[in-house]
Amino acid sequence: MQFAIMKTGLDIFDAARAWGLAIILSSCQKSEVCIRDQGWCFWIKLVDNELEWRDPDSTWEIPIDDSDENWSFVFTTLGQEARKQKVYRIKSILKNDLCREVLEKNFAIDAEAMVFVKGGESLPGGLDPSAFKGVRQKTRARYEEDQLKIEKHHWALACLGMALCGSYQRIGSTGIQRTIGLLPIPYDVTLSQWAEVQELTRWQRPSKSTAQQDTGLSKQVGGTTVAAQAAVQLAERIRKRAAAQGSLRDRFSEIAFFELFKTSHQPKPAQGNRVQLDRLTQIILGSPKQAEEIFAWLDYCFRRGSKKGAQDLALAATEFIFRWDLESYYRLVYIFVRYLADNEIAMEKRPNEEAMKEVLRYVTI
Amino acid sequence: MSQSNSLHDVYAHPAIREFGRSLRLALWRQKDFSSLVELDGAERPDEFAEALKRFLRRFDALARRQNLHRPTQQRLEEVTGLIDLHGVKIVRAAIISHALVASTKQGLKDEVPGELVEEESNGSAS
Repeated sequence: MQFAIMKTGLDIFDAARAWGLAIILSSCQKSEVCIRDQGWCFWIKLVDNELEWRDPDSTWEIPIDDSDENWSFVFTTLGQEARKQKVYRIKSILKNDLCREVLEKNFAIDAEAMVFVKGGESLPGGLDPSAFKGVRQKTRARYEEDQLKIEKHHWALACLGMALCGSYQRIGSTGIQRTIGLLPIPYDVTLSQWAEVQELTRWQRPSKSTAQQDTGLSKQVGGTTVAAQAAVQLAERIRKRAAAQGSLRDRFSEIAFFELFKTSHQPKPAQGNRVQLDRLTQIILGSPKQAEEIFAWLDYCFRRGSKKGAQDLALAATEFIFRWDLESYYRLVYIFVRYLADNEIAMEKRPNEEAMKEVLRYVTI
Repeated sequence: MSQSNSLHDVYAHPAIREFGRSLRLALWRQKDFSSLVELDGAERPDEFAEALKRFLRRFDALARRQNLHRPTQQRLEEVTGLIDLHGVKIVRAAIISHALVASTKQGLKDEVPGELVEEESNGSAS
């Protein structure tokens, strides 16, 4: 059995709905769930092809943790009480309406016209920055643009998907407070347990303990740098998973990200982009023996570049992850050599000769 | 623009490897930043060849003092041939790539002075 999430053009909203539906199916059905990007839609497919409740007595609960900090970022424009009510409403819609209609009556979520409806729920700006006013159309002298209204099932799925699979992080050290939102876009991913997707797609916010353990994302100055580091770490997670499973089953096409900055009233969108993951995936496929070393080196560049005075290293690594061309590669190695020669980088952090040789294979001339 | 094996092939060339290794030693042992800057600044093939010659002259003293292998004239000619074939940017990127890698675990001991290794193990560099 398969369901289609038709794409609307709002990238993060579309992917979040796909994640949301996959998590719902994975948590209540016995079958493995597969998400596949078909270009015009996401297919969410039950691998065993039949609906079979994991819990026949229907004591099944929606896998929502009310205390998850991500909710405060998804509903960043709302107050605490309004946010709680939204989460409660999401639970109610998903359990009482969606599961009955989608799973029991075999209702397909496939009509594009049904996504944007009058009188629906407002798409939160913290979920997809396209929802903010003034982004979709010009607001001239009068500020009249309406909220982007979404049909309730799609709204609930998108909120669930972003809260469970997305990540938010504060960036910048001084000045205006900024937040980056990240969401990996699935290309072909299979889930046996819904919780395992979070291990792949989510990052904890950096703390002193994570910085000491050399895990997670570093506290970077720029949003693009955070996204590029996330791409490298996602590739490493996929590599580990592929090594455990014996083959590369899970693929992601890109990581979509956006920045929000605080104003006197409510957060506003700053910029957004995507980091393509094709080169990193090619490295896993083409050079499985060296991939770990390559990703460790790239991640170290971000980690070292997050320290004060070394940001040029992180920026060079970011440029390389985005472009994979000769100029960006040269800039990265030149800065790295300079830091090494200055004893700013420990010798043990150097990549080995074979790993470097493999990196060069993927550089575009 | 396409993924090309030329950079990969140039990197694997013995002459490039030899020059890269020499640059690595020159940087760690005598802090030869001048050569790094000159190689970075060279745009034309003749400028790059000149920067390589100057680097060799500087490296010569270190090589004689510490009994290190020095790239030969033949290797220099091979590198010049690669520059004519692939251009300065590719050859330069390949040489500097060799300058940052750790060839083997034993290589680390050979390349890094004892004091520096001790400093690093104490966590002076992160």
